[in-house]
This record gives sequence, C-alpha cells and structure tokens, in this order.
Amino acid sequence: MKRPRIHLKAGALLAAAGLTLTIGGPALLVSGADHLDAPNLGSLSAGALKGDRDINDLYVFQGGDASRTVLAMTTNPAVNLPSIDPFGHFGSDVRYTFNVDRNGDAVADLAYVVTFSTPGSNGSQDYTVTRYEGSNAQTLNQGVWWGSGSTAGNGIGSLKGSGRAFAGMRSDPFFFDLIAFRNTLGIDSGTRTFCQNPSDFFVGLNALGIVLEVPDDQLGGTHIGVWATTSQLIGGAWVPQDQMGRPAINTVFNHTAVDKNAFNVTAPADQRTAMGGKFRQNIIDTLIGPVQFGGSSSPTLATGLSGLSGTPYTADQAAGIADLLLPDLLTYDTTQPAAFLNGRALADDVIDAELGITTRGAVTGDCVSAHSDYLGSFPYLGMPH
Amino acid sequence: MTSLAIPHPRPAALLGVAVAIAIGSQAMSPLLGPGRLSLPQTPPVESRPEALPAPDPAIGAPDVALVSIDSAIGRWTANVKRDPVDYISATNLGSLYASRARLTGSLDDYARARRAAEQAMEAASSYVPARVLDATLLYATHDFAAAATAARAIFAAQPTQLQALATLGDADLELGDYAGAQSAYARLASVAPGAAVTARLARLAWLKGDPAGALAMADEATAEAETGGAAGASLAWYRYLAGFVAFQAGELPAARSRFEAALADQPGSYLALNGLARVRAAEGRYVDAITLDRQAIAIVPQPEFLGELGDLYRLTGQETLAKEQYATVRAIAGLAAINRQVYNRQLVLFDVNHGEQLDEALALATTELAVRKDVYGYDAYAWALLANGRAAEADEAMAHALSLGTRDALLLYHAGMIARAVGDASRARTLLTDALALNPGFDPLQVVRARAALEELR
Repeated sequence: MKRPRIHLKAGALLAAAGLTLTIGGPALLVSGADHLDAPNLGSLSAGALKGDRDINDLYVFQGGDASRTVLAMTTNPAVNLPSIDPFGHFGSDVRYTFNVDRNGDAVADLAYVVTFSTPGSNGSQDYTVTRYEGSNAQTLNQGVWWGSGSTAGNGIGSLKGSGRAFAGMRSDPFFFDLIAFRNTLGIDSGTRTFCQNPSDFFVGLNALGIVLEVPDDQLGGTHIGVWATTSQLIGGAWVPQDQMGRPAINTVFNHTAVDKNAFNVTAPADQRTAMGGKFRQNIIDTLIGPVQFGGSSSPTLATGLSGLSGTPYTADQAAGIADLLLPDLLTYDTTQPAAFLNGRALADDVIDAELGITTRGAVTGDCVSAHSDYLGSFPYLGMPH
Repeated sequence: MTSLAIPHPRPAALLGVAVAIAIGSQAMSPLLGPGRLSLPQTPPVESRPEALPAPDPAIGAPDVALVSIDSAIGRWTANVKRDPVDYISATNLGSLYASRARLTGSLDDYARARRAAEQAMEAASSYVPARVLDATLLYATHDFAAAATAARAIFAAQPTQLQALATLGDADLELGDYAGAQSAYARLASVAPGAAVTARLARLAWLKGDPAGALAMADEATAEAETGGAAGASLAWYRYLAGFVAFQAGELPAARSRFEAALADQPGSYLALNGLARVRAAEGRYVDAITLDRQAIAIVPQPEFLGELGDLYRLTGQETLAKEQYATVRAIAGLAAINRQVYNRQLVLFDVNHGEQLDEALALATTELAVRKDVYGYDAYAWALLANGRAAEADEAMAHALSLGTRDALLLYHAGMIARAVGDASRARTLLTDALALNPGFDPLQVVRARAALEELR
C-alpha cells in the first residue's frame, strides 16, 4: 500500500475527535469502528463497567451461498479487560437488535432481537432470537419466537426457516492501527504515525459476537438497510444505549460526548434533522472545516479533513456526502455479489475507505490488513484468543 | 499482632467507563494501616519458584478471575511487544497487573504494573489514563507523597478525572491529612455517589471514632456494590471491609458472617481468611485460627499474618513453629526495599512486640512518621519509643495517635501501656479497660499482656 500523504503544517498535528474514552476514561476500551464511542455507558457505582451494551461493529454480507445473508455484530470491548466481569458476558437485561429497513425510508420493517439469560456457574448463557415484522419492528411489542441456543459449546443454535444463530466470545474481526491514527491526528503525544511500523491494535483481541444467517427471502426485500442497536431494561422500560450502521460514523464525525450520546439514541430516520440538523452539520464541518477534534482547546482544522488533500470538498460536495452518510445504515443489495460498499464483509477495509473519502485521498490507508483468522463457514468470526 | 486500619477502599468504578483504572486497576491496596499488602512470591524459607500462587485445595477452586486476567494479560502483552509505543495497550496491561496484584497480593505484580504504566507515559506523556494509573500504583505501593502529588496535578488539570480525585483523597488519608481526604471524598460523593465512595466514607468514619456509623456505611457500600453488579473479588472486598469494622468493634458474630460471605464470593480472599482467623482467635479457637492463617499465608505470606500465626503457635505451646514464622518475617524484611516500604509498620510492630532490633524499629518508625503523619504512624512511633525506654516522648506521640478518637483496641492498649510507663496508673487502667471492653480478642498475644498489666495496676 502506498504511503499516505499527509499534509501537515510545520509542527502542527491534527487533533482528532475522541476516538475514545470516556470521561476520565481508563485506558482502553477503545476500539474499532464504533467501540466505545458512547461516553456515558457504564454505571457510576462500584464494579460496573457495562461494556455489554456497547456495540463494536456491524457486518452484513453474503452467507454460505448467494441465497443467504449474514447479520453479525460484535459487542463488549471490555471483554479484554476482565477484572470486572471475568467471563465477558452478554447483558441479561439487554436487547441486541438487528434492525432492517426494506423500503428505503430508514424505518425498521423487520427486526431480529437477541436476548440472554443470566450466566450460569460456568459462565454460559442461553439466548433467544425473536423476530418482529412491520410496525412491531419499531415498537418491539409483538414478536415471534424464532430460535434459541446457548453460548456453551460451539454457541450455534438454529432459527426457523433454516436459519442459524451464534452467540459467544470470538476473535475481534476489526483491524486498524489505532495508535498511528491517534498520533497522526494529535490526540495524544505519541510519535508513530500511519505506515511507520504499522501495527494492528485489534489483531489479538476478543469481542463478543452475535451472528445470524437467514435465507434472503426471509428478509423480504432485496435492497435493505441494516443497523444494530442495544437497549437496556431500566425501571421497566427499554432504554436505548448504543447504535451503529456504517463504521466509525459517530467516532469520526461527532466530537463531543453530548453529540455522541445523542447520536447513539437517535433513530436513523431522524438523524438528518435531529438537533436542528447538528449531525449533518458535524459531518460537513469535519469534511471541510472548521473543526476541532479534541474539544475547545484543541487545534482547529480550518479546512477539515478533506483540506489535507490541498483541495477541500466544496460545500455542495460535503453536503452530498453528509446526505449519503445519513441516515446511518449499512445498505446491502442481496442480489449483488459480495463487494466492498455492498454491506460490510469481515475483510472489507472500511478504515482505508473512510480515510480516503474524508481526506479526499490525502490519507489512503493505515497499512494494516484484514485478519487471517476469519472462518470460511458459519459463524465466520474467528476463534477467540 | 496488631490491629490495622481499615482496608483501603478501592478506586473502583467511580467513573462510568473508567474501567481500567477503576475496577480494573483496583490499585488501592485493600488494606492499610500498618500496611497490609503484598509480598513477593518467593519467601526465602521455601524457595518456591516464581509462579502463580498454588491454590490450597482446602480453599477451593482456583480463582477464575485470575485465569481470565492472565489470559487478557497475554493479549495486551502481545500488543505491546508488537508495538512498544502502544501506550493504550501498555496502560491496559498495567491496569490488569494491578488487578492481578489485588488477587495475589504480589508486589511483583505491582512492579509489572508500574513498568507498563511507565512505558505508556514514555510513549505518550499526555495520555491521561496512564498517568492516573501510575498515581494509583504509587498509592498501592505506599509511596503516598508521590501519589498525592501526581494525583493532584492530574485532577487540577482535568477535573473530570474522578479517579485522580479519589487517589488524592486516599493518599491524603494515609499521609494524615484527614481534612484533605474528607474534602476529596465529599466532592466525590456529590458527583459520583456509589459504593466506592461510600466505602471511603466508611473508612473515614471509623478513623474518626464512629464505628457504628462506619459499619452501617460499609454494609451500605456492600449493598450498593452488589446492586451495581459487583461480584467475586470485587464484592468480597466490600464484605471484608464491613467484617473488619465489625471485628474492631468486638462484634464477633457480625464480623464472622461478613468474612464468611466474603469467602463465599471469593474463596481465595486472603484478607477474609485472615479476618476469620482473627475472629476464631478472639473466640479462643486457636486451632481453627491457625488453620485459617496458614491458608491466608499460603496465598500471601504477609509479615502481619506470619506474626499472628507465630503468636498463635506460641500460645499453643508450639515454640519451634512459632520461631519459624518469626524468622520468615525477618527474612521478608531483609529481602527488598519495597517490602520495607510496604510493610514498614507491620515490621515495626512485629519487632517491638517480639523484643527484636528495637533501635532499628525506632529508626524505621521515625522515618515513616516524617512522611506519614497519620494516627498509625504516630502509634508505631510511640510504641517503638516505649520499647526504647523513652516513655515520655511515647506518651506525647500517642496523644497524636488518639487525636481522631479512633475506636481501635490496639491504639487504646498501646496508650494504656505507655500511660503505665509514665506512671499514670489511673489513666492506664482506664485505657486498658477500654481496650479490652471494646475488643477483648483484638490480638491473641497482646491481650494477654494487656490483662497482665491491668492486674498489676489494681
């Protein structure tokens, strides 16, 4: 991969947005495309980092054959910091939901919700998959039991209509040189930048994974938009916690804790106009400036990320990109072969693509490639480390 | 031996996501006072190879948390090896070693944690989580002045770093700046109420002579922790704190039930094992106490545990075994400077109680007090002064030790013996009577001496 050109003013580094951390954040829990972009996740009482409501990544790709589609999400980056929760469990008071829009209005017409029992003494959890259609997909009121399984053993369960499900600990499929990214953008004071001794932060990490493989005709549409959400049962109500469509949208384009948290609970259909159009404007500002990534005391990028190329996007171009990126859904055409930007496969280098688009070619990649441990068959995510 | 100050509260999740430091690191040592902490894995007597502590089959299954932590340590170690300037992975590694240290009591684990934190800071000096971790590690290894300085600097620059505020409060407490600790804890309580803060307030309440309030708060903290999802070692810690407070008040059944509950959550809790041993000893059940202390020592051979076990052997006429324990304490003291830093108060009290190396004990207590002017610093100093024949100075120092009104039978006993030495029989009788009434089993060997002294004073 050719070395990215990064236009830097002498001595100036780009500040970039909170790719992380939470307030007072401890080290990690950083991660991938959406890992921990929600600053207020987690309770303030003792012992409770609740990364089980955190979505790392969402993938949508062709399954075992062209007539099947895989919906996969990875969650709980805290599984790599086990002090709190030695087994790395799914939340037993959490709904993990794959939302599917079938008609292009960014409203869920179909939803698969996965829920888990409290862990047994050996740490395993039973899971149930429930399917919701039509307006029930938005309210999650009346669902149909669709299948079940256990994280014990191989974690695989069956779904009605010849579908399959999996839940359990896997190798985190995301690949990214996180440290180089942060250093390049001046988030911290380290010096190793992109493509200098590139290192994939995630190559040895684990994540919890939920994978569903369903026949395409069950999806009820050939052009679908998918997004993942988590919600937690609090005080008798299901409270939205995290959300993800395309990779890194919240992490790259929303720069404050307030905006990130709000984005995580704003339904896709509302994302363009919510908060007076703030999310849309955030994308435009990030692309063409002015933008500050690290708060009001951080450097301002006057012409945004695309300005790094020397030729920033025009306002119209930036607005066009914003309107493509919002609503934040992973779009997928079940009739087309698996291909980049048709859904998201495990090996798709979304980081390189997004770096290229946002910097208008100034930075073309992080010199880090897909993992070698993906499986050729269900559940596709590699074995845990 | 000794009664110790209450356990240190854990920094634990004061921050929502501040995991690595908070819970993960749990860098606060579980105990304080004459310093319960860790020991190297290889006591010289046995020359056990450096390894994970072998679980005593009598205790139960190996700690699953330890297995899980070690697995994660492997992953982050690989990251750091691949990319030595990966400050995030290095910080995470440090926080995991700190977590490990809480389970194993090992100073080696703290040393590894510090090296990882330092590597992170070298790679990215502005990376705050590494600095916060480092401050908590300084605290955990008893470099309280450095911990306070580091934590203060972080918090002043970043008032959202609540962990730094907690560490600052905790370090202030150990240095004897109780007002500083109070103010830090009050601020924490207002912005991040919860078990971790309640436990700290419990500790402060106990130090200030409100054992009933302290126990209520410790129990409340336990309930808050449990509701918040704490389990295993995390929850056991709170139970231990409550058990400790109950024991100090001489409430043996209340102490026993809390220590037993702690062991149910964490069968390898060396603190709870020792706590239960002290309860059994106070009940006169020396054989049970010996068994329990041996189990605690098998996990972490702390000077205090070894001294207690030696005293129990002595009381049951097993002098040779008693001498072995005492010899091990001396050997540990000689092993490494870090042991003296972490266990100095335990060592001072041990030496004085067993009539050994009295001038060294006084020298150690003196240097300690120069840095840490807390009630237990004054107590150790006073006790060492008395042993060196300087009763009047001991009396003056002891007054400082009692200045908070801490209801600790050990402090009262020391004060009574000192009062006797300066010829104030009436005050001596009052103090010794108070000590024995408060907690008649506060120390198996010392209560014998206390009772004998009281007899003589009649």
